[in-house]
Amino acid sequence: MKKIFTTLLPLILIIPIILMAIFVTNKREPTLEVGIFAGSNWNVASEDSYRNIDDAIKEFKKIHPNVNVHYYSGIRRDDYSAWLSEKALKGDLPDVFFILNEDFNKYAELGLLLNLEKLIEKDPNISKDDYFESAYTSGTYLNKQLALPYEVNPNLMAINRTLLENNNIELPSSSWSWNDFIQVCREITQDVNNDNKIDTFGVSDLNWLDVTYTNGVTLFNDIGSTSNFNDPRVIESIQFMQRINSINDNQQLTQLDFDKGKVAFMPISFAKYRTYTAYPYKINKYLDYQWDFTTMPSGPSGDNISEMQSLLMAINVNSNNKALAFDLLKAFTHNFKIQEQIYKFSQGASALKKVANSDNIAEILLENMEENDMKYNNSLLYTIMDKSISPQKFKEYNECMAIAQQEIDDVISNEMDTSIALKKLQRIIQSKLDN
Amino acid sequence: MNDNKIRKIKYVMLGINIFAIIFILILINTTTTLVCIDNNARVFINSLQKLPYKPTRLLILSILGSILLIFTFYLRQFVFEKNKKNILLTILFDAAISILLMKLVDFNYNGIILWVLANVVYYIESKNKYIAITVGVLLYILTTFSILDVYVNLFSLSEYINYFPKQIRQIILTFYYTLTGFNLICFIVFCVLVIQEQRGRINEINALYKKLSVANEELKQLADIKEKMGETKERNRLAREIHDTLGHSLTAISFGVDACLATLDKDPTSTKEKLQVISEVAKSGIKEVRTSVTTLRADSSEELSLSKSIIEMIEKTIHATGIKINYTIEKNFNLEKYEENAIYRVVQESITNAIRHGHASIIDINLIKDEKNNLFLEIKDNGIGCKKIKPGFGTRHMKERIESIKGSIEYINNKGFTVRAKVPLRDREKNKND
Repeated sequence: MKKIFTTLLPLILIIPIILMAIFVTNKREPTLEVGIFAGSNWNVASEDSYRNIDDAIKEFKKIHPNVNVHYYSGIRRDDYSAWLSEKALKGDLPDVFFILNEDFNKYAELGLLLNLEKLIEKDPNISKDDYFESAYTSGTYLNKQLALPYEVNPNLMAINRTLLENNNIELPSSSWSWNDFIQVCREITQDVNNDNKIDTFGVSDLNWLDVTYTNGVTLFNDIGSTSNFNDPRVIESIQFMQRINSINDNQQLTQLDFDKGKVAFMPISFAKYRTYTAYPYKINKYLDYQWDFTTMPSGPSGDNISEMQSLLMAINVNSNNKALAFDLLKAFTHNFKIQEQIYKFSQGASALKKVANSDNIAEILLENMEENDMKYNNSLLYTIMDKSISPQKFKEYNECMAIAQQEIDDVISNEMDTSIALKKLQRIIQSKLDN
Repeated sequence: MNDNKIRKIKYVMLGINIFAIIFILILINTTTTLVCIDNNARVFINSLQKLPYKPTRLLILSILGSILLIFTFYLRQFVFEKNKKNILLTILFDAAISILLMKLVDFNYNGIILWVLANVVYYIESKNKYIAITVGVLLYILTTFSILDVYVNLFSLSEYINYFPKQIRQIILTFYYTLTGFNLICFIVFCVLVIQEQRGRINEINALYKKLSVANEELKQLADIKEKMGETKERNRLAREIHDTLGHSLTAISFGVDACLATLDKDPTSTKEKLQVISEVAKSGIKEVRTSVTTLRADSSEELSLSKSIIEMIEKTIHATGIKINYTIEKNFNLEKYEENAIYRVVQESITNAIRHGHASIIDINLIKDEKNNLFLEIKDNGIGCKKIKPGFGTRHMKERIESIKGSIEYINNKGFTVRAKVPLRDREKNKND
C-alpha cells in the first residue's frame, strides 16, 4: 500500500500543479480584443464610426498579418461605460480599448491600465512630442502615461460673424483679451426694437471653468492634493464672470439663443462646430448668419487657453500580448493615415501635431461645408490645440467639481462677494481632498 | 482520548479554511454576476479600491489549491505518520499553497496560516518548531487584511458584500465572522490539546523517572544487604568448610586412633598400617583446610566429577575406619560446580554423622536420578540414630546447602538415621540451555 503511494505521490502532486500552470499561462492564439463604441464621443451625430476602426485594424494587420483582431460592434456610447465595467469586473477587459474621460480616473486608480512609458521610450517611432501636450497629458495619471489620445476635441469660441458685421465690430484677433471681449459684449448688448428688453447679447454658455483656464490657473495641483479656489486669479475669473453676467442683465442665455442669432459669442467644442456647420445638420439651424471661430479671450494673468477633451485608448494591464497591443494602439493613435481620417469619419481632431498641421485637413473639412461657410483657419485651430489644457484628473475631481459648480454658480448669479465665498469654498474642497 | 479530539479538530480546521477561501470567491463571483444582471457595473466599480482579476479563474485555482491541501493532509495523517522528513516537506508545501491561496483572495482571509501553524505545533518537535511558529505568527500578523491594505492595494471583500441589501449583508457577515472566529477557536483548542498531551507525556516520563530512582535506591540497598549477606554467607561457608573437612578428618583420625589404641598391643603391625592411613587422612585434612582457606572451594570435587570424588571419599573412609559402606552412585547429573560441592558435602557430613553420632557399622549410600528427573540422595546407617533430631550444626548446614540448590532434605530417625535429599534437575537443565 505504501509503495503504491510513494510511486503515485509525485503523479498526484504534479497533476494539480500542471492544471494550475495551464490555467495561469492560459494559451490562446494571438487574438487581440478591441473595446470600442459606436457613434461619436462628442455628443454629436456620427455615421461611419466603425470605418476608421476597421482601417486602423487593417493598418495593424499590414505589420502583423497573423494576428486576429476582434471587436464587439453595436455597443452604444451610452452603454459603453457599463459594458466596459462588466468586462473589468469579470477580468475580461479587451486588450486595447477606448476609455471614457469619466472612467479614466477610476480605471487608472484600480490599476487596470498598462503604463505605456517604457513602451513609448523603447519605440523610436513614437514620442511624447508627436502629440499636443494637453492631449498627451490627458492620458497621464499621477505621472504615469496610461493612455494615448485617439482623437481630441478642443473648445473654440464660436462667433456670429453676421451679428458683428451688422454692428460694425471687427472680428476679434486670436490674441484678444478679456477687456476686448467685454467691450464687444457691451457694444453688442442692445435693445434693438426698443421694447425695453435686450435683444442681442454678447455671450451665451460661458463657463466659469473655461474662464479660469484663460487666466492661467488650474483649480487643483496635478495630483489633486491641493485646491486653488482662493487664488487671486480664480477670484478674478469669477469676478469677470459676474461682470459678464451683469452685462447680460443676469439673463440665463443658452445655446438656443445663439442658434437664433441673438448672441455674438458662444464657447463650443470643435466637434459641435463641425457638426453644425456641415451638411445635413446645418440646414435646419443656421440660416440667417455666418459663423466663425476664434480663441478664448485671455485673462490678465493668462493666455488664450481653452480646454481640450480627448478620447483615450488604453491597454489592459493584464493583456497577454502587450507588445502586439501596443502596436495596435499605435495604429489607432499614431498612424498618420488613420489620424487624418478622423477628420473624415469623426467630428473630432487628431491629437498628432503633424496631422493637425497637414494641408489635407482643410480640404477634408471644407469638403463637407457649405460654400458660404467656407471659413476654416487651419493654423488658428492648431494654435488653439497647442495652447489647450486638458481637464484635470484625479480621484475626487468629479465630486469636488460638482460642489464647486453649485457654489460658484450661486456666487455669479447672486453677485456675492467672491473672495469670501471662494475662501469658504476653498476650505470645503481642501478638506474633501485631505480626507 | 486527546488524540481522537485532536484529529477531529484537524478535520474541522481544514474544512473551515478551505470553505472560507472558496466561500469568499463564490461570493465575489456571485456579486459580479448580480452586478452585471442589475446593469450596475459602472456604479459598483466606483465603490471598489481594486478588482480581483478573473474571479472565475480564482475560484477554480482555489479549488485546485484546496485539493492539494487535502491531499497533503491525507499524506501526513495516513501515509507518512512516522516519516518526519516527509511530514516536514508536506508542511512546507502546505505553507506555500496557503500563501498562494491567500494571494488568490488578496489576503481577505489569512486564517489558513493557522492551519499550517497547527500542523507545525503538532508535528515539528525540534528547535525549528519555535522558528517556524515565530515565522507563522509574523506572517499571520503581516497578512492581516487591515494591516496589509495600508501598504498594498488589495480588493476588499467587504466592498463586495456591501453590494447586497442590508439584511442579506448582515447574514453574510455574521456567517463569515462566525466561520473565521470558529477557526481561531479551533486553533486555540487544538494547541491546548496538543500542549496537554505533551504535558501528559512529560508527566508520564517524570513518574517513570521517579519509579526508576526508587528502584535504583532499593537496588543499592539490596546490594548493600547482599554484600553483608555475602560476607555472612562466606563466613558461614568457611565455618562449614572447616566443619566439613576438618571435622571429617578429625573424626576419622579420632576413631582411627581409638582403634589403634585398642589393637596396639595385640597387633602392632596392623596398628602401624592403620596409623599410616590415619596419617594420610590427617594429611588430606590439612590439604583440604588449605584448599578451603586459599580458594574457599572444595578439593576433590573440583577436579573430579561428583561421582568419582564421592566414591574416592567413601573408599578412604572404608579404609580408615573399617566401616562397611554400600553405595550406588550414578554419573552425569550435569550439575554446576557449586551444586556438586553441596551434594558432596552433604554426603561427607552424613557419613561423618553416621560414624560419630550414630556409631554405625553399615552405611548405604544411593545417589541416583529418579523417574521424575530429580537427583535423589539417600544416606542410611544402622546406627543408634538419635532420640530427637536436633537442628545441630551438621544437619542445619546440610539443609542450607540443599536448599541453596533448590532442593529439599529430610531426616528420618528409624532403625538408624536416614538422610534423604531431592534436588530437581529438569529446571536446571532448562536454565542451562538458556
